[in-house]
Order: sequence, then C-alpha cells, then structure tokens
Amino acid sequence: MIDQAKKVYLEKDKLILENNIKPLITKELIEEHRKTPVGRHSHELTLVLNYFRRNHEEIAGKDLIVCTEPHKKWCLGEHPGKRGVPYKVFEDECFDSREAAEHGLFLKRLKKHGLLDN
Amino acid sequence: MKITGYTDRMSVQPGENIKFMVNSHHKKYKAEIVRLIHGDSDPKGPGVKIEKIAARVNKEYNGRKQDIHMGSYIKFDAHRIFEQISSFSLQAMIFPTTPELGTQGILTKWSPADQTGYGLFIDEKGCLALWIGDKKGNVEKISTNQPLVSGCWYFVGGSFDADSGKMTIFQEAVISKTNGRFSLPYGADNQNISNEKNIKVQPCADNNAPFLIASIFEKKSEGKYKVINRYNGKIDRPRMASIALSKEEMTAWIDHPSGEGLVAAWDFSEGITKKGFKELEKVYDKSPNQIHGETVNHPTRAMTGYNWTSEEQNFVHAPEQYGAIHFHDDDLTDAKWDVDFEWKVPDNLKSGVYAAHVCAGDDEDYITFFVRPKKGQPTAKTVLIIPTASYLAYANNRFQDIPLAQLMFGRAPVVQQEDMYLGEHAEYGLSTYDHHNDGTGVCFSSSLRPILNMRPKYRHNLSPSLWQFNADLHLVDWLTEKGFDFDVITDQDLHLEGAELLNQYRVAITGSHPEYYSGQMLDAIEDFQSDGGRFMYMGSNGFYWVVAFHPENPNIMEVRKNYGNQGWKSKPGEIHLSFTGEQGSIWKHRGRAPQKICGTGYVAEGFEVSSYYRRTEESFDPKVDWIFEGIDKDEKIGDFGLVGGGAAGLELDIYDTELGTPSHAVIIASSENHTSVYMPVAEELYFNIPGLSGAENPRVRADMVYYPTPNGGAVFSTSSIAYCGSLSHNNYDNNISQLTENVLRRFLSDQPLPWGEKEQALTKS
Repeated sequence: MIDQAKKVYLEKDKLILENNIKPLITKELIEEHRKTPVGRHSHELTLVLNYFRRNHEEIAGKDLIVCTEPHKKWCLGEHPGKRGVPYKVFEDECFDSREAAEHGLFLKRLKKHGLLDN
Repeated sequence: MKITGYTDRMSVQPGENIKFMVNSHHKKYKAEIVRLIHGDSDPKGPGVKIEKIAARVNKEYNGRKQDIHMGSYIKFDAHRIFEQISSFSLQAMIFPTTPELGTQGILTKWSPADQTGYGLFIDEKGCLALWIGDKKGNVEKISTNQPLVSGCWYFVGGSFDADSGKMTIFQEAVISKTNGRFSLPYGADNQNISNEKNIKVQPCADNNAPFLIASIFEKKSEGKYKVINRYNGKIDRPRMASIALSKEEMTAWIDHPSGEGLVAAWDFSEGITKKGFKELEKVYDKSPNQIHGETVNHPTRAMTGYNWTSEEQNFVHAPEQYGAIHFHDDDLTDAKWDVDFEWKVPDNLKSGVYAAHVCAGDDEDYITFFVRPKKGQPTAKTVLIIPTASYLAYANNRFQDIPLAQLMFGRAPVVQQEDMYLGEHAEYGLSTYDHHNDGTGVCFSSSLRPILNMRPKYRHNLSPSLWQFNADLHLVDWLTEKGFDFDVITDQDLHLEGAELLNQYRVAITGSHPEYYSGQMLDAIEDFQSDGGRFMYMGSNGFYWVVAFHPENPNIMEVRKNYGNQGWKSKPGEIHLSFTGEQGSIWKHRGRAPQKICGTGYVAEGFEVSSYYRRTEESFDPKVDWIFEGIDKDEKIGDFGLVGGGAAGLELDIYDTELGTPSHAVIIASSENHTSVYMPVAEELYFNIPGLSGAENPRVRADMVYYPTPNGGAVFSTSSIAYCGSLSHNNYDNNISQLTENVLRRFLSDQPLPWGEKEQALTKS
C-alpha cells in the first residue's frame, strides 16, 4: 500500500473504530468473551473481534499467541513484520490455557485501542 | 531445533534404500527408526504412540552443521570464453521486482572477496550498473543513477571497450499496454538513461568466480555454490558479446543476435514443447558457442516476457512471448545436504508411516517417510492413500505471516516452536501458501529439505489443533487400534502407477485433506471406482488444486493458483504449469469438480470450532441405514473430537448434482450449527452478498454422502476435515468410530453391498 492509500485507509479505519466498534464495548461484551474466548459469539462481539484481527491489514505488530510449553504455557507475542527475525514473546504475559491467552489478548487489544482503561 | 533432517524420497518399498540427511548442532546424536501411529499429544486423547523398530542404523552418529543456500539462479559449466573476456557487452530485458533491496546480480562474473571480474548489476541505490574489477583490486563502476521501478520491463545493457577504455551503461523502460504494471509511459523519459566514462582498469576475467545469471557467486564448499545478492524479478533474452556493442546493435540483438563478437544469446523459451518444458532446469544458448546453463532451486518458468500481448494465456502456444524466467532470492527446491546414514528397508517391514527419530540433548526431530508394500505385492485389502502432495503444498507454511489469516481462523494463530524456528530461518523454504520476498506466489514445493510441520506432535496454527500429516495419524491410529490391516501408499506412488496400484485393493481410503491432485492421480481414483473399487473419502476440500510432479524428481511439485480459495494469485498469462503445459487453478474449472470423484466438493471453511452432523430422513432407507447400525436415530453425530471439538469442521464439502454428484447419491447426514467464522469459498460465489456465513446460510454444511459405483463399488464421503479427530473419543467407542467401522467392514466384505448398481441412473435428477 502506498503512503497515500495507507493514509486514507487509516482514516477510514479510525472512523470505523469510533462509530461502529467503540459503542459496542460493554462489561457484558467483555464478560461474553471471557466465558467463550473461542467459538460462537454474539454479532456485536464478532464485529469487535474482526476489527482487532484485521489490524489495519498489517503484519508488523500483529498479535500472536506463542505456545512455549506444549499444553502448559501460552504467551502473548508479536509479529516483527519480516522474515529472518524472531517473533517477539512477552514472557510476562503468559497463561495456562489457549483460551485464557485468547482472553488475555482480547483485553490487551481493548487497551491498545483505547477501549479499556489500563 | 538444533537437529533437523530430511530423506531423499517420501515413499520407499521393502528392499530399497532410503537416505537420511541431518543437520546437527550437537557433536553427537542418536538415530532410531520408529513407526508412527498417533502423534496428537493432547491430554484429552489417547496420547502419542510411537513404536521402536530394530534397525541396523539405530546408533550414535557424529553430528555436523549443514546449511541451506536458498535463491534461484543459472549456473554454467566453466567456459574459457568467460575467462578470456577483455572487451565485452552484457544486455537483457529485465523486470525487477525488488530494486529497492539494493545490490543484485543480473549477469555477473564477480568475486566479492577480491573485487575482481565484470558484470551487470542492480546497485545499492537500485539503479542499473556495470562493474569492472582488475587484478589489483581496482574497481570501476558506472551507474544509471536512476532507480529502477518494480513491475516494469526495461531494456538494459552495458559495455566496455578494452582499447579505448570506454565503459557504458543504459536502461530504457519498455512499457506496452499489457506487459507490466503500467500501460502509459508516465515519466519514462526520466527512466531512460545512458551514461559512459573512460577508465583505466581492465577486467580480471579469470577470477575463479563462475559466470552466473541472477546472483553473485560467493564461495564454493564441498562442491556446492553459495551465492549472494540474489536477484528478484524476471530476465528475458540475456546476451553477451566479446566486443563493445553500441546500443543500436544491442537493440538489434534483442530478437536477432548474430554477427561479430557474439558470445551467448540465451533463449529461455527454448525447451518449451506442447506438453510443457522438456527439461525445466536446462537453459539454452542459441549462439554457436552453445553455452547452455542449468537453473538452481527452480526459478519460475513459463512466465510472460517483455513482449507478452495478453492474447495468448498458455506459454505452449506462444513460446516467443514466454522467454522470461522469474528468479526469487528465497527459492528453494533442494537443500543439497550430505547423506548421514542410509537404511535398507527390511523385506518384512510392515507398510506404514515411519520416521528416523534423531535426538541430541533436549533436541529432537522425526524425519518422516512412508513405507509402501513392494510393487505388485499388496499385504492387505485396504490401502490408505497418504496425501503427500498436500503435505508438500503446506510444507513449512507460515500462516502466522498472513495479515488477514486471523479473520479466517476466528482466533489468534498459536505459534509453535517449529513456527518460531521457521520465522527466523527463511532458508528452510516456503510453502505454496506463502509469498516470495518480492510478493509473488510460491509455485514449487519440495521434500528435499526438513519439513518441520510434517512431524508427530506438531500442532498446526491453521487448525485449532492438528492439520494434514499429524491429523492423518488420527486415522492411522484408529485403523491400527481397530485391528484393520492396511497398506500405505503416497500420492507419488498413485501418480506414477495409477489404477493398477489401487486395483490391488478392495478399499481405498483418503487422508483428512487430500487437496492437491495431479491428473494422473484423479484418473487412478476414477478408474479404480469404475472397476468396482470401494472408496472412503475421510476429509474435505479434496481433489481441488491441479498439480504436477517433476517428471524425473517426484520430490518436487508445482501448482499455479487462482480462481479458487487461495494463498496467492498467479499473474495474467501465468496459470499454466511449466512441468506439463496444462492449465493450473482448480480442477472444477477443468470439468473435474470433486463431486465427480467423491459426491461432494469444497463449499465453506472456518477454523475456530467444529460442529456435528445430523442424520437425514433418507438415511433411514434400508439401502443405507446399515451405515448407522448401533447408533440411535436421534444422536448428534460427532459432537466431540480433538479437532475443534466436533467431527464437522475446518473445511466442509457439499452435495451438488450440477457439479457431478451422481443423482443416485444419498446425503446420509449433514452438519449444522456452524458459526459466523465459516464462510463459503470464493469460487462458489457469483456475488459477495450479506448473509453468507455459517450462522445464516444453510449451504455452509458438510454433507456425508453414500452411493454405489459400477461393478460392485461404492463411495462413502465424510466431507469434513475434522472428522478423523473424533475417531478416538471415549476410547474409540463413539458414533463416528462406529459409523466408520460399519462402512469399512461392509466394504471389506466379500458379499455384494446392500444397494447395488442396478439402481444407479445417470438421468435421474
């Protein structure tokens, strides 16, 4: 994407965040995700998750879950955006199940987008 | 991952030798041959099952590091003419795809260590340049000083006259309405540059660096080249002269190279036949010197040249417009490691899935391979067709690198240690789901490299748990636990031996996702069915992509993607396979939809959770109700399992008589209750419209289908990738296991099937 197109994309993306995503964030929505981090979701939660997962169609900075010990430990991570460079692993953001890691990631993304207080 | 390895072949038969290549960062490692039965380490399942096999090669070995050198280029046998050059000209048509990455070799005889030689390059500023280095290390460079634009064809050249010391360079944009990114020559005048200067150095041509196209030689160790500054993009019609040609003379040489000073005039379209390239690795020089070359790591051929008009889409019909080769700095089709040990497979070894387990300290690898029965000597009535073409397609895939993959998955990709390693080690090669560094799609995959996701214990991030190889071990385990005798064969065996191989068996069973098929493989399945074979399709999205194996080296496979559900799209005019000249894309577009093979075909996908099937009213008909013997009529079928928690999930197939489902086929069960992450596949859509997801759309479902085929055969299709992950639930006592066993036992029986061919009808709607 050239800079001009990217600028327009990010403007529209921000508009979508403000108009369509932000109003959906409620305690109930966060609780729904906590109960079912992966699987069938309400229409509202699906919209929020799709927005987060799109990440402006950029791979750099994309959130990952890294399994550091099979069936025991899942840490949040981040894609460096290019090949030949290790993925970032946040050792202080680890969980004991894949589902807990998904919910941890959800809360992190809410904060990243200014949708939840730190 | 301090120890990794691969074999020289995917399939081996008793009595044959198989070679193992190992890279070990440990000084010593142990190797042991093992039989793989179950590779899912999920605590909710039966656990990993691996059996040791007594073998002569089970012992300790000295470890050594073995590197992989990726990148494609053309090399030549040593030729005195390259060494004797004083005056020279180098020219080509080029279509750079990453000029911004800096120095890349185009036509080079250059030694970076002592800065000697000559060559045509893209320089560190992304401009075209000619370099000359003399014996004393004096270097002269001339550049166009105008960065090249990616995705645009250029006529480029440079010359040196030894008598006058004149060095020239030029680049000229060649923009037609069809050959590249632009059709109008915006600012082309600024792109068209000629420079010259007089220099005092003379090229040291005899510099021990071989002449290469598309790279710079760095070193040779143990007979293997390592190249650097690898070029990304196309090259068409490269020529070399032993005199300094004027630009006008070079222009004449684009299509008519002849006359004084001609050293070489390579024609990359030479070798094209009506059935694809005769020898894909061979590059021909049309000059009297016949300095023929050989490609390394399979750059892509059958690519549109600078003169492509878009009127012809298939290279075999207009070879003169397909004189380009597309090189990638990350192409890899052979790691070329030295052999560490070789094993003669014992005559009495049972057919199955095997590995050499190599381990040192906490590091281990399972170097997997498949033992088929000796040719003409089946050892069972059932054969499991291991979908090795599909394993190749996904080999070392990096779904976590795809920007929108998380939307398709409906969750974050769970990155395993193997994925972490591949993220850092691009040299392990890409899958046919990845893009090259220049953004173009990967059309070749090879097993001549460690495939880290073709391993037991590996958990795949496209699936909630397992996918392809390790998921297929769910089926291997179930067959083993249930006491069914079976042989295994690979896709390559099927491709090479056809129906003759399958016809030795009463029942042929597929893996969970036999997605990639050659024409020969489809023929084999259909001929087996026509001859009365009984066929169990144990997955979904099968018989989908058109592939071809390398005619002499079945470790290498080619695919050209577009017009389906895909990781990349081939560029205009480039959808035909270079191996065969046949149209790539999906079989549906060639009149061979999967519905013809197994009654159902790819309809939808989603990858976060799986669902279950419900029996249909038709399933209670006596001609098919035996399939459900022992199962209550209202039971949900497969609402459990190790792949997403259900038997119906990941990818789903649908019954469709328009696409070739036989009209007498019966939908015996169908899945329901899929989530909104499940979406129809692109090729099933006419327009993208709201309301298509699994939560709203009754076409998002897996149809379990059964129908008789001629001469006493039948087809049973599960139509779901997740299906086999449910077989082991509740210690193999569950309705998916029961149903599968009912079908397989009946198929193995000498008795005619309850519903015979008399009731088949081609005309019934």
